[in-house]
Amino acid sequence: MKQVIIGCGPAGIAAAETIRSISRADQIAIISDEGKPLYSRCLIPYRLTVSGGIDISYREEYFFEKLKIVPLLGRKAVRISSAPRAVYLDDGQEIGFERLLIATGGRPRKPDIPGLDKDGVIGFRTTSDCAKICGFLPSAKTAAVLGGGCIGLQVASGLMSAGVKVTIIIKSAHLLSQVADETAGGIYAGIFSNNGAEVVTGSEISSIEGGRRVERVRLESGREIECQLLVIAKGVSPNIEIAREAGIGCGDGIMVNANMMTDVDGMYAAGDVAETVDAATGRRTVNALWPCASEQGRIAGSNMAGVPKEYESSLRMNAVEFFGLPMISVGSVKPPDARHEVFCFRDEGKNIYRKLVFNKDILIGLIMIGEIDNAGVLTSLIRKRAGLGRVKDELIAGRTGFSRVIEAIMWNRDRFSGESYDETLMTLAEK
Amino acid sequence: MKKIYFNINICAACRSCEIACAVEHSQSKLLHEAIREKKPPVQRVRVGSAEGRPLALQCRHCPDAPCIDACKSGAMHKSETGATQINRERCVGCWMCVMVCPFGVIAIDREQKVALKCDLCVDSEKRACVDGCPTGAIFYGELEEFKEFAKGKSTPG
Repeated sequence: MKQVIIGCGPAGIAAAETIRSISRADQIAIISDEGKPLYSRCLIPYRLTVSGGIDISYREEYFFEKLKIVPLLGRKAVRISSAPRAVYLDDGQEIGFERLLIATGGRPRKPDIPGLDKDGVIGFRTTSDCAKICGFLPSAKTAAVLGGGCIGLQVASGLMSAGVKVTIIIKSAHLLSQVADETAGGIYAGIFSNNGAEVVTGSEISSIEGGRRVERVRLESGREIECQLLVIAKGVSPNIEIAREAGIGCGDGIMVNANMMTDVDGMYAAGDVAETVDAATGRRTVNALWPCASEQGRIAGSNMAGVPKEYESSLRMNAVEFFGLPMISVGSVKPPDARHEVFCFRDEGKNIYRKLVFNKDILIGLIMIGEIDNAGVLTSLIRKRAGLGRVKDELIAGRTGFSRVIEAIMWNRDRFSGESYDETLMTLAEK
Repeated sequence: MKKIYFNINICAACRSCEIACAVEHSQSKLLHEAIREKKPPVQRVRVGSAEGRPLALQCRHCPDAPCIDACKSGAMHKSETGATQINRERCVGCWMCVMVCPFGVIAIDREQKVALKCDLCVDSEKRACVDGCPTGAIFYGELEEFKEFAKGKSTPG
């Protein structure tokens, strides 16, 4: 079988590893527009220092050789053809395939602001973006970060630790508006302020000003903020164009079925480019998140290699830590309507916050700040949409250990399948 | 693969496994030293209460481990034996594994920024929790061996 993978992020790598673990004979080729793609994109913010920061390689140097994968690096896939089944690269090369995985990821969303092309205005996605920022660091006393999501705040804290004075500019009323509520956003706003940043809420940049290099941004309010560096962190858009042009069905992302296959037989999609059903909302969406990408890649790879596997659902989930305070946020953290129940616990002295959102007796969202133990137990309850019965009261009381939720797992036993559950629950079934 | 299994019927909920695990993962590996170490060692097995019955739980070393999918640094990985292990050098303390572990058996070290979990005592000949269990409720071996071993054992001792 000739397997071709476009994209060398977590989805592409997981797919390649899975295919190779199933078949030694399949030919595998990976196409990446990056020359050195074997790094972890999520670790890039850790490199935001003058000294270069930590090692962010994600797989060993001889990954391709060891797994007998043909790497086609530094070249962009520009067209997919279904007859003949082939991918065309920007240098004209034709790569034939029997099965294809489109794991083209996303790119930073760029707002339409005059002055976006000035030096020192940078989106944040690749190692080269990071290197550019690091290059500007010595000549940047102040920086502005547009966007207060997980990436924006990681960039902001990185710049702050490099000694740059940072202004975080956000459109929403509070930080982390996509993944947290007002209380949680407020907790982190307090922490960022205490560490020297300014958080400007409810604002948009109307123009980026300066000479060739950015010198300041002007807000819609008329206020001007001095900055020698402006980082745009307004989320990512999926790179679906190549699929759409090939006639593959797309919504916001490339639409896939439970086997991660698109509407064209033998062509799969996974990762930040794929549109899947979200467990908490039941709606189709692009959850551009590392854990979703690797799992989707693994499942796509298995199906591509002929071992059928189904993807359960994706789930919006984030784990972050800023200035030593960890937060985990999963599912729908802002109740969609008044029929949903919300339970919050807060200990301001210890910087602990916990929020649970229920739809009747199903947990659909959580925020945990400060104390994050057992978060995964609750994540699994959200993902499996498990009816909780009495266990709901345990969770509300803050008892979240696996042993405390076993009753709910037993009631929904068909959804909690697999060797690990079987072995763990086997002991309970006895006697 | 060889794993740690647990017999609920003969567990006395004494938490000796927790102590043995913490000591094994201490600097000195001696109880009387470990409790005085600057940073107290953390156990990777915990005894919980499942509907009033004790349940000792540690990493299940899942075949399709969600923690490995979620790990963005490549620290969490499968060893050659199939065990799920953390490469401490690579762990950045992002807590993605904590977010997805359905058994809640990954602890966090906020100071060192590393995730902590059962490593099956890879560096030792013995499994600390198994050896430390006075009732024989914790077993290390293949699943079939455990089933044979657990047959008819329904009381502590």
